[in-house]
Amino acid sequence: MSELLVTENGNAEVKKSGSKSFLSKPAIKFSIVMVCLTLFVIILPIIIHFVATTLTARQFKLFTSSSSEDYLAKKVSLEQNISKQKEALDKLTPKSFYLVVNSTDNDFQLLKGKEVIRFGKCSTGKNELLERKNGKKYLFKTPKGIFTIKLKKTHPVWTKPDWAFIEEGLPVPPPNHPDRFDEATLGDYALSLGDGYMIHGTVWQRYLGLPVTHGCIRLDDDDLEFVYNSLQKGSNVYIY
Amino acid sequence: MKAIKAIIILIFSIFTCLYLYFYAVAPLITLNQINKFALADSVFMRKHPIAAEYPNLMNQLKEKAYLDAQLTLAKSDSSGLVINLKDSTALLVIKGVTLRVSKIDDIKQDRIFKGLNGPAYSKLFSKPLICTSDSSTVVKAPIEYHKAPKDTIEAMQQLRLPDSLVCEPGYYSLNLNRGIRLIMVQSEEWTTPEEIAVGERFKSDMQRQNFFLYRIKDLISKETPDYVPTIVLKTSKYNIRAIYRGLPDKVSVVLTY
Repeated sequence: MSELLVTENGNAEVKKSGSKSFLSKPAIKFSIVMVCLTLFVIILPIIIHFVATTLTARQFKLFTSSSSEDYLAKKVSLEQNISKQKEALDKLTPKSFYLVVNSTDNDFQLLKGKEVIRFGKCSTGKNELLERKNGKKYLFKTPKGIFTIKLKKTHPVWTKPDWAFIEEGLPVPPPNHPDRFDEATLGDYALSLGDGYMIHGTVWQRYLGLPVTHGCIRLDDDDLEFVYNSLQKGSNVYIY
Repeated sequence: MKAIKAIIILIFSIFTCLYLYFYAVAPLITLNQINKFALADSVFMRKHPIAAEYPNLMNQLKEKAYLDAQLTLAKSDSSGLVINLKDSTALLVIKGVTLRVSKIDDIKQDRIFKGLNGPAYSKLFSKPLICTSDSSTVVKAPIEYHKAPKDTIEAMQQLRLPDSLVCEPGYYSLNLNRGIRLIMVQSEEWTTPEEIAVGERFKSDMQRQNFFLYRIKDLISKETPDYVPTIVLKTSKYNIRAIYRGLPDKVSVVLTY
């Protein structure tokens, strides 16, 4: 705060009113220095980092030169090499039908080449370890990796293994006992992946999309029929 | 009073210098080392002369390195991860077949990657990177243990249906063999207490990478700064879960940008 005063001899002078300023001159200077240093600390590293990385990248380009003919020849050769590699990579994708099963989200895709032909829900292994009193353990998990269709069956009959009875708290019948044979559970079709794992139908369609099986892959009736008709013996099934 | 101010300024300046050194210089030292290391490898340079002689062909070199790495990965029987930062995609592949395409919502990559010269890029990325250690919030194989029921009544009591809506927080960090770190973090908001805890862990990991106090610790304990070039990818937690569970224990990663 300041005010203009007129002295007796007519001169005007400025008089500072109130007490001494809150900040003294050295304190202001010190604050400015600190602010500058802070800005310096924040901004300078970023600038150095930016400039230096850009320069390093350009440095290499500046100190390397080549004749245009050589350059074009190398460019063509490199591009030919790239297209060959792309072809080699493309060849790895099956041209015929194959199935990709996602055991985490319980869904599947039927593909031909890179085109998705059909997708939908499925059920995979429930990731459960069942232990009997005698210490025998059964792991209900869908295996991951690449498999091939080993066998195709219509109206498959499920030969129930021991665990199917143990899990339900039932006594285990002897082999070939009529209770072991179930004509309804697997649906109309089954595609065997080996080691007892199959792609088949289910009577519990409301559980599709959930991990509830003993390791097999269950599909709904329509999907199963389409997949059965599309996949041949030897077709690839990828499970992840 | 003046002496105190001078001391404060002196301490402040020392910290500034340290900060400058670790924040700005350490990545440059690493970049320089990587670039020089590739140029000094005479066997590699003889095999890849174009990388050194024709820097204008960098885009083609990058594409070739990407394809080389994918073809090498395809020779393996295990699944692998292919990260394409140009397309913002993370692919889960096996034997050259794409099993899953995951969209990357956000990418943060250290500037060091843009400073790599042709030979260094080819040397780093023309073969799959191998994961040396990893950590994730996702359970790899969520196996539940059950005792066989005594009778049908106990079997009925044991019946349960899994909750398909439950998904763990998504965080997956991989330390790769050529000194690169890859972090995948969920793009969804951190809402549940578990997710908030993961968010804090992620922040603390990133602070550890950049925060200058850690850099000062490095100065005291080590001769060279412990800087790891890092790429952070944000994608859905469902993608992270499916990718993490789809990958083997020893993960191979193909990377391009």
